[in-house]
Amino acid sequence: MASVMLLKSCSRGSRSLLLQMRSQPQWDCTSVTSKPFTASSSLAVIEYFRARRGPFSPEEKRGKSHIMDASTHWKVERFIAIGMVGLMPAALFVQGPIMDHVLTTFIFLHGFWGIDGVLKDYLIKFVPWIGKLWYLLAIVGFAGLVNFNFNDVGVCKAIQMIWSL
Amino acid sequence: IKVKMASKSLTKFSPAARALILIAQTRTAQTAAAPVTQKPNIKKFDIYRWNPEKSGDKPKVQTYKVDLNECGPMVLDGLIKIKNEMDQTLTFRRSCREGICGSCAMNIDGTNTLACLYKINDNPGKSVKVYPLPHMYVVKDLVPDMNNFYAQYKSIEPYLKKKDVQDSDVGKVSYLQSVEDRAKLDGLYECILCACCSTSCPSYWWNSDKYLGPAVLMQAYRWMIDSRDDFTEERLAMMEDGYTVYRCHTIMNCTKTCPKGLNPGRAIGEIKKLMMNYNKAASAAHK
Repeated sequence: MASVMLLKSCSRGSRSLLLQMRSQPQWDCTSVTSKPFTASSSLAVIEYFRARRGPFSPEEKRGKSHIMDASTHWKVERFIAIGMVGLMPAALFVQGPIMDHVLTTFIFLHGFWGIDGVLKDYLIKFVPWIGKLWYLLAIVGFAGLVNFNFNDVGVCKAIQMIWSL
Repeated sequence: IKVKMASKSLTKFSPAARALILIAQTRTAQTAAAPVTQKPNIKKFDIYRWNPEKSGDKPKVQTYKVDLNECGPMVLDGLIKIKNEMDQTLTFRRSCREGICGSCAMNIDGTNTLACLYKINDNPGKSVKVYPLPHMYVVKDLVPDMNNFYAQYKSIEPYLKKKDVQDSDVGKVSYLQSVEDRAKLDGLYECILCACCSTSCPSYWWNSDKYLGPAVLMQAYRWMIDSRDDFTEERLAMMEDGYTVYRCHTIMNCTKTCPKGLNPGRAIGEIKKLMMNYNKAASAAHK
């Protein structure tokens, strides 16, 4: 019995185990998974930084709405990454509005999905809204770049101008 | 050289057997005459200790001194010696002592391996550092909580699934497999689920609730490419989200640390390749 309670508290951390052990005589065996007696601020901190949450159902992991399947998304990500290897040297020889738009789109998507991956790895489990914030920032950024391409010199010319400084 | 057997009786053996007998007699004479006392070769073991049943106990590292002349060569031999002779309360999992059960998986000198297969390092100044598998909840001392790992393994349905086979027909006919198809499973079926690889993966450290980890993914792949299994597309469809397989960034700690010499990193790469162009319509029913 003690070992079962030990294992059940494992995923909730050592602190919950200590609280459980202390108040054990007052509880019956079935309330192992219920909330502990005291709600100290340090326990709230431990819960916030909990390493393992869930379990998550496949629907939860998939997320609400996606433009592409995860595998298609992965394919497009790699296509753009490899595409840039050819695109960047090509930009040295071919400039113009089309190259502006293609270059902007490729580099922007690559950077956007890259940061999205970083956020998914490290931050989203602690700050769930950071993904949406990045998305918002990205849209604003992309709008700015498209505007730059249309109503200003365009990225290729801009890089040329910076290079000649 | 004292020849114990009369030379006449030796001639009845072949020359090879004769030579062997002479060697054995010489060696036994030498070892019988060898000195009994040897200088004790003391090795320090720095072992992670934590007992949750002791109220207020904090994790700490405890040092034990072991005479390597009186101890087997593997770290598990050292741990058992410590438990038998020095500290009964040292807690760790172990079973087969030959690297096939996966119970004694732990972090030794910074590497996740099986204690029964990892030789005690013979660097005279250094100690042996023994810690539980990294980023796992610890039940006690060197025992990690493997429940999440096992739940993830269960979630990939690691058993043969066939379409259009009635329950009544199971076991009547053996499912044949060509030699080439069977060869595809080599390097995958030998996994002993010790969790050394998954617990060496930083992605698994940060997202062990949603990312399956190399061990489980390698087994998922093992069932995907088994020619006898009919649910390949559905198994691939299980991976269609941002976390289950795509948190792998080919860090390759898994392959580096596998104590059985397997290659989970390659298996995950093959899953990603399969995911690129599998028939999604066929698995639509799974969703």
